[in-house]
Amino acid sequence: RSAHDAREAMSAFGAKGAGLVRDIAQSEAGTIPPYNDELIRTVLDECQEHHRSILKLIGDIQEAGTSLEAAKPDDAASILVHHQAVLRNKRALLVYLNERMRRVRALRWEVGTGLPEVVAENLSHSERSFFTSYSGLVNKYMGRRGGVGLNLTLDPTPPKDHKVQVRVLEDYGEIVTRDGNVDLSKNTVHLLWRDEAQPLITEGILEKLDE
Amino acid sequence: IVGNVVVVVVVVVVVGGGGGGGGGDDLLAHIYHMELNRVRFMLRAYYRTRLFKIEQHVLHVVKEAEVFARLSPQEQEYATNYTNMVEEHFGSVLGQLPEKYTSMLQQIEEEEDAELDMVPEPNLDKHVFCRVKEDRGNFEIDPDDVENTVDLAQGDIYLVRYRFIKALLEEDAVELI
Repeated sequence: RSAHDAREAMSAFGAKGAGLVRDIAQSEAGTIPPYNDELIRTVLDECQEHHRSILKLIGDIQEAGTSLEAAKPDDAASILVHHQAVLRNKRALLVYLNERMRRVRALRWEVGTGLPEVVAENLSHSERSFFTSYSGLVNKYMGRRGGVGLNLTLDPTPPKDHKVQVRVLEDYGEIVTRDGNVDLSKNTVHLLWRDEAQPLITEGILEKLDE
Repeated sequence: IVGNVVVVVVVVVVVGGGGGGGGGDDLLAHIYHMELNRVRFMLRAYYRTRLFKIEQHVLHVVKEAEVFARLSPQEQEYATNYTNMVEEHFGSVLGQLPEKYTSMLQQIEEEEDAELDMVPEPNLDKHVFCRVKEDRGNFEIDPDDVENTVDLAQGDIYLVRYRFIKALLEEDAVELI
């Protein structure tokens, strides 16, 4: 590899990693952008490159007969820089994965156990597995056997009123409520019991009207 | 605490159910119903908050026996399983790093007993507002600054580093606001 290439590569240390962090940091909160498999690959490959450089440097030192402790400062510095580069990339990877994982968890709480197709497309295979396992974990905790027996996804905000006024966003047909049957046609307004309306509000069928 | 709250819920449900029987008791039933909803919300929020806190610092929670002991059996199971899931997910990517760098607990693999430097812990040095619940007289706030004592009188409000009032909080001598 020519010295020029090496110099160029050197000044780019951490750039790809930073790119990964930017990817997720600049995405709109609450959304999950497509899994950047390509960039992850690149960062991982970069790490392997650094590692190879480290091993080569160590190899050269040992070949010259010196112990690692007594190595020249320049060589020691080079090894250190490569090492730190790997650590930096590792941190970037984790920031990326961690933030995405946080958003995937939020999905379970806000949307439920069904992962919408449009969202699933953007997740990596591992993230999809994680969602399924996490969903199961939450379900188990909320369940009656071995769990607390309470649906924790309800009541995300403190209940203000007993009944809520809602507007129907799309035709849903007739539903049975404690007070009788209600016909949910688009754009009609109804006064419903909060716990009966909540699931439909979450699903997007009804819109809560604030006072 | 949870045991008590659950008992309260049961009581309200029973009374509310009974109240709904009589026609003239509609208002009472209404009130009981509201109370029930409020209590249920509190319970749900309480459980949720604990779960989120566990998730935030799961590695710390699982590794520190003292912290783990404060969890309910279900929470302990939750924390353990959650840790495994995270480990598996991160591992799918970290496993492709050069050997010795693959751990999610340490930056680089070192000898046994080396510090797990990648495990985040709650920040005990954050400042919090607290109100004093019982008179404590001259109290040594900072163990490193023995001469600086503070007179804690009931009703006083302080902005102080969490670390310094942690013990008082556990004794229920102060409350966070």
